[in-house]
Amino acid sequence: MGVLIFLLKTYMVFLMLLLFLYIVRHYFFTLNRAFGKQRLYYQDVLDEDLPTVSVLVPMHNEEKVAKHILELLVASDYPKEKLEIIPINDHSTDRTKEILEEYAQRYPFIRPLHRYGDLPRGKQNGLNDALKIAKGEVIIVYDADYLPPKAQIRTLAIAFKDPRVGAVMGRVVPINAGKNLLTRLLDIGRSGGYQVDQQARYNLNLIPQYGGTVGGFRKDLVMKLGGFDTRILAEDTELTYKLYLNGYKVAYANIAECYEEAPEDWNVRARQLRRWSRGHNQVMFKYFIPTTLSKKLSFWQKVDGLLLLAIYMQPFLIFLGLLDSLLLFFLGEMEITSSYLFLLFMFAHNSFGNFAPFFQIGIALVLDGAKQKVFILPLMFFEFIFNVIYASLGFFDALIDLTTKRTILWQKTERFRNA
Amino acid sequence: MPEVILLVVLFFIFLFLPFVPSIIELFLKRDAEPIPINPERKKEPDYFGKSFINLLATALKDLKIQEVEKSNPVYLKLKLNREEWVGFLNDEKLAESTMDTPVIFTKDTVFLQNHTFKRELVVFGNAVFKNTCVARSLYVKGDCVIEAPVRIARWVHVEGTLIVNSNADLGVSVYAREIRIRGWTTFKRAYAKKIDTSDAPLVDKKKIIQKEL
Repeated sequence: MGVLIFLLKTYMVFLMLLLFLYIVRHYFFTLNRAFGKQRLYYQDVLDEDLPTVSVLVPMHNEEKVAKHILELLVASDYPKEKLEIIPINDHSTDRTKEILEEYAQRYPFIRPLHRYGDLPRGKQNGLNDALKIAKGEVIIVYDADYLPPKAQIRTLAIAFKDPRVGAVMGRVVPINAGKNLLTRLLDIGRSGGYQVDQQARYNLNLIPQYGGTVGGFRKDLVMKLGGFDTRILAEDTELTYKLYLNGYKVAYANIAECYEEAPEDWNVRARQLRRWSRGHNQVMFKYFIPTTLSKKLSFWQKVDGLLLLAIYMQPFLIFLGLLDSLLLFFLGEMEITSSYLFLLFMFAHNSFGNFAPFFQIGIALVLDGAKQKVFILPLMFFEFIFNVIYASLGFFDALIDLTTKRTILWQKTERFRNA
Repeated sequence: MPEVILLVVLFFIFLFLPFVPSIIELFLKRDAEPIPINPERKKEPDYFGKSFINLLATALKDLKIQEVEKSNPVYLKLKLNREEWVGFLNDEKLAESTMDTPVIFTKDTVFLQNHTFKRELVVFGNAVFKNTCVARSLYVKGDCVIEAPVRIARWVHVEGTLIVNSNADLGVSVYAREIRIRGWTTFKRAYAKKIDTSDAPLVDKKKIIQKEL
C-alpha cells in the first residue's frame, strides 16, 4: 500500500509540474503577443517573380462545398500561368466528381485527380499521389470547406522567397461562428490558437505549426523527405517536425486569414477531436526522441517542440490526475507536502494558473476587436471536460496504433453548409 | 430545514453565477459574427501614391491641370481628405522655406534650396533634388533624381525612374517603375520592376534627365 501511495503522490507532483510548465507557456505567449515585439510576416515582400504553385484540395463527398472553393480559387489574383489547381477526389460517391469535371472543362488550370478502386483512402494518401503529378514549386493546401480570399495564394507563396522557409501557415477563422454554443466556443478557441499561440511562437522563433490547410510547403523538399507517412493521421504536425528536424522552419502568416466551416454538431466535433488527438499522438510517439536529440533545434525550440508534441496527451494525463486525486482522497492521503510554500503555490495555481488558457483567449479576442466574445469564456469549462474525454480516447487510439500496427482509416469531417 | 433549502439554493446560485454573463451573451448574440475578412483585399505597392493622386484627381475633376498652369502660382481650396489649401507653383523660387500646405509643381523642377514641405510634395514632371529637402510624402510624375540627403517621412511614388545618389531617408514606402540606388539610402520597403543597387555609374540616365530639365 505504501508503494502505491508513493506512486500516486509522485504522479500528482509530476502532473502539477507539467501543468505548471503549460501555464507558464500560456502566460509567456500571451504577454509576448500583448506587449512584446511582433515579428512581421513576409507580406511586405512584393515580387513579380513568383514561384509556380499547385493548390491541392483533398475532397471526399464534398458536393456541398466543392463549387464554393473552386470559384474562389478561380478568382484568385495569382498569375494563372503559374497556377494549377488539383482537387483530389478521394473515393467520392456523391456528385463531387461531376462538379470537378465541369470545372476542369471550363478552366484548363484545374486538373482534378480522381482516386478510386484499390487506392487507399485518406488525406495523406491523396496528398502523396497529388504530389507526384503537381507541377508547382510550391504546394498550397486547402480543405474543401475553406473560402480563400483573392490574394491569399500570393500572400502564402511569397514566404518561400526565404530559402529557410519549408512551410507556411495562415490563420483559420470559423465562418459559422454564431451558429450555436459549439461553434462559438470553437471560434474563440481558434482566436486564441492563432492570434496568440501561433503568432507568439513565430515571434519567439519557436515552432509555429503547419496546420495542413491554409498553408503550403516546398514540393521538392517534402518529396525529398519522403512525402507524408500514410500511417499518421496528423500529416500536418508530422511535416512541421520533419521540417524543423531537417533545419527548415515554418512561417506563420496571421494576415492570411481564411474562413472555414466549424463543426456544428457535438458528435461530429467529437470524431474530429478524437482523430486530431490520435494523429497528434502518433506524431508524438514518432518524434519525441528525435526532437529531444536534435542538433538542428535550439534549447527553447526543443522545449516548445516537446510541449507541443505532448499537447494532446495532456487531457489524458489530467484525466489520470483526477482519478489519482480521488484515490488519494479516499485513502486519506491528500497531504502531499506540508510546506507553506507548496500551499502558496497551490493558491497561486488555483487563482491564476487555471485561468491561463482563458487569459490567452481573452487577449486574442481583444486583439481581434471582439470584446463581447469574452463573455463566452466561462462556458469553455464544459468544452474542457469534452476535450478531456475525446482527446484521451484519441490518445488510446494512437497507443493501439503503435502497438498493433492496425490499418488506419481516415474519417472525414461532416459538412453543414447548404450546397 | 429552511436553512438547508436556503443553503442549497445559495449553492446553486453561486455555482451558476460565473456562467450568467455567458448565457446572456449566448442568447443576445451581441458579438456572434466571425471576425471580418475582406476577400477582395490585396497588397498594392503603389497604394499610398495612387490613393493621394486619386484624391487630387477627384478634387480637380472639373479643373483641368492646364488651366491651373496658366494662372500659376495659385492656391486653391480643394477637398482632399478634408477641405484644405493646395499650392500650384511653377518655379521652385516661389516656394517658401517651410510650406504648410500640399504643394504641386506643375512642371519639371530642380530643387536648389532647402525646403521643408510639411505636407505632400507633388511634381507633375521630372524632379531633381540638389539640396536638402524634407517632405511628408513625395509624388513625381516623371523621373526623379535625388542628389542630396532628402528626408521623406512617409511615402515616395515615382512614375518613372528614381535615382538616389545620397544618404537620403525615403521613409516607409518607396514605389517607382525603376529604382537605382547608390549611397547609404534608407527606407522601410521599396517596390519596383527593377531595383539596381550595384556600383555601375548612373551618369547616362542623369545626363538625360538634366538635359530635359
